Amino acid sequence: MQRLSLRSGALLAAAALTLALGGAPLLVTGADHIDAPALGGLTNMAGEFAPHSDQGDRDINDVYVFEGSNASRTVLAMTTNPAVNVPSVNPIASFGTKVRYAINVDRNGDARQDLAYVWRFGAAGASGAQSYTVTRYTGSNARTLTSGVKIGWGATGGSGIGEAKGGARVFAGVRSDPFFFDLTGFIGTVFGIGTDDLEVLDGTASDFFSPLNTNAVVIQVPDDALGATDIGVWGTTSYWNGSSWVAADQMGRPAINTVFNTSLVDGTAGTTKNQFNTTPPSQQRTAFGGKFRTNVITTLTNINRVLGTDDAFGCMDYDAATAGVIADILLPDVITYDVTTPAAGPLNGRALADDVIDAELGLTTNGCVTSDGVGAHTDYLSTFPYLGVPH
Amino acid sequence: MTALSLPRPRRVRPLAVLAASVALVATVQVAAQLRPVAPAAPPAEAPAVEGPVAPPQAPIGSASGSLAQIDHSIAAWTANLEANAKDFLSARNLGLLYEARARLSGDVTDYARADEAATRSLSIEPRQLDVQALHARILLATHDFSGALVEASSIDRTAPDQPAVLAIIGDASLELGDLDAAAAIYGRIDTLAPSPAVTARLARVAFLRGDAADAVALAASAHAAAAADHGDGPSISWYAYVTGTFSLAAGDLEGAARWFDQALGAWPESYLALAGAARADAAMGDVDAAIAGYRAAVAIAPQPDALAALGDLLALRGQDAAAEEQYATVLAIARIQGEGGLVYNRQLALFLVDHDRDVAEALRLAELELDERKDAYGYDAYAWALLANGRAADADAAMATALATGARDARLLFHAGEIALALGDDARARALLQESLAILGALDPLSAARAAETLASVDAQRPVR
Repeated sequence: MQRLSLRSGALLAAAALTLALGGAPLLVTGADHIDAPALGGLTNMAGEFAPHSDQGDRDINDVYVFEGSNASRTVLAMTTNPAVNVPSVNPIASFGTKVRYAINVDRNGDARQDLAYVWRFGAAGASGAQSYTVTRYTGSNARTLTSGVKIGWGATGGSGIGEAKGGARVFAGVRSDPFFFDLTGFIGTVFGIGTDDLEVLDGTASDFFSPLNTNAVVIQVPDDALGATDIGVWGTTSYWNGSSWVAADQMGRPAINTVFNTSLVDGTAGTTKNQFNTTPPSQQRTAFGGKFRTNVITTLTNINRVLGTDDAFGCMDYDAATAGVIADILLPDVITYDVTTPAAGPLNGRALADDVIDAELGLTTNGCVTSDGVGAHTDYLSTFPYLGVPH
Repeated sequence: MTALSLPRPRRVRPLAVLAASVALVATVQVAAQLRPVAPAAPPAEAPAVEGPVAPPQAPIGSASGSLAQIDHSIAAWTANLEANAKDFLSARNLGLLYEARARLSGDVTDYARADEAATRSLSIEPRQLDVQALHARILLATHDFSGALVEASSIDRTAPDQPAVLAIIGDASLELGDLDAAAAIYGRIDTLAPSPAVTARLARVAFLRGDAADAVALAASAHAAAAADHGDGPSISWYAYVTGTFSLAAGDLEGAARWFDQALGAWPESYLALAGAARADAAMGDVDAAIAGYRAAVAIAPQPDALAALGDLLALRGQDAAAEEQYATVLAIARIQGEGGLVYNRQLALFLVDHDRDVAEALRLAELELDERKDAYGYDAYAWALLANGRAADADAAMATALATGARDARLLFHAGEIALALGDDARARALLQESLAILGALDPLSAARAAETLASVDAQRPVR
């Protein structure tokens, strides 16, 4: 079978090396798992060889938004710290004690947050459990994260479920990672790293995330508390550097940064990825001369040619106009959701079982490759906190 | 300190040797006396043989965590690899985790598993520089210093000035006897990325160059930095342990005891700290505590040094059968390591001489070691074995080389004193033995007793042999 990466081999050689060096010990690059050099790239803060991400506690894996078991409830969830699966010196605790974990909500369609739920964690006790609080910010306070109201509190370990006001439910702790993806197949086919391939080429698929855990913060709120029917959701982390809060990671839909800001289309992809992680969604279409948008369009109009799928399967890239339309859907990078409906991604929320990878493969390749051959996990729960029991 | 009165080693009939060695094989827990672990710091040589310190290979670039956490994660990545033989990422993670495991368990077979996983990952995707570095670290830990140097140097050419890679080059250089090269490299890392891990290495260089006080100060500052970083227990424990061993070497017995206590406080299961505390107890004359401490240490990880020390203390108490059991275990470990292992050569050579066993074999092992590693302790083991084989003049030449580096190590001085005596230079023998004994507690109980005995006989103008 022809390897798709044949033509792109030379182009990708540099990318491959960077990827190998830049990956976390795990290169657990599901969705947003460690997609930027600053969050575990070639060298970490200490100048070390980065076999692991120095700031795993700030790395966002995925963001989910979906209907609760009660239709008038909405669930917002964010998973973090891929390094949970490789016990390491850093981060020192599963959740950073100097990190803010925020799930942001835009209520009026301007891609700026009008509502934010922020988790903060205390130091781990003897058992390893960390106390946590959940604070709600509204209006402009959601952007400055000042003058919030504490609406929930609890401790990790045990059930991780805490107490909350206003009919909300809160959780923080380790859960089974709900993400599913043939990671080695993907990087083998697209980047020529390793010897695995996507199922479409070699007929086999394996889910890298099947036995893995992740940290997670989950909140379920009455739809009324969100204050709007159509919302946009994204996650951000920031850390205290001793004198101020510094933006760390950001994520809306899965893999936007990973798929579109690559060295295939951008000579300074590493820098671009870092910039994307710290550019607020409302500015993502225009910041840095509009390069994020340009990267999306360049990818969509060239990917089949670069990968060789045009020759191999007769697949065609998008024309520029269509690519532009899609770019304006993908940017700003927020998960759009109608709270009166169950989630049905990728354009209406993101449920745990939504196959976002298949959707993005199809979207990016203009329908050429539509699946990685791996399906949803079977350990999701029908009740709060919905993510499965940890392995 | 009261000199322990120890009779000359008697030829005790080896009891239950076979049973002991069979039992040891059955457990598969072959302790690697190489780099007894430092969870956050790579395993260290036993202070007893290599001079007080364990190559402070602190964590640069490796995973850690408790044994239970590590085992749990190993299960997950193993499942991935079983489902997909091409999963080089999971293989890499297994390599990192087994390396971390080896540091906590002291079990050399964990290094073998780490090696297998790393090699497997590289066979699928050879361009992974971090896995290449992992493999070089494993070579370092299993005493293939030349191999580690070659591989790390290769990575350095591809990706220059990576602290983690430089650390491997520095450590390998030091073990091969090139102290100046090691010091220069450590200095470079210190400029690029200062950390407790580098400071601990600089401490070792200071000691090997003869400045024990500086070594203690540097190691203590490394410990303080590690504690301030809120590292995990085993990691902080390792720095306290290292400072304790330097303190012993510098003659600060009470300070050493405090440091070992601190190490145990940070990580109660540290077999290194348990053995260190036992060592200090023995030096302070508390034989009961020392025996209990060594028993606890070998129960966790049967390291030859601790086993031999335990045996010597039991012999001191007249419990010859119990002592012989420990000695038999030491020999069994050596046999299990076998021809390819080579990790215990020095320890074994010294053990054989000190316990009046096969001294011809001791010389053979010492020569083998010296062939690759021409450092002070290699020359020391060689010299000691030469003396035991009746070649005092050759022993003197080798010992001169050992002392030339400047390390003021109690064992080197003791050996040098015995060699001087064998050559008839009483005055020099007395001076060396006195200098050796002045470093309280830096000698193991057996050597301390012998040194004191020899000195006494020289003073009394009575020949010992």
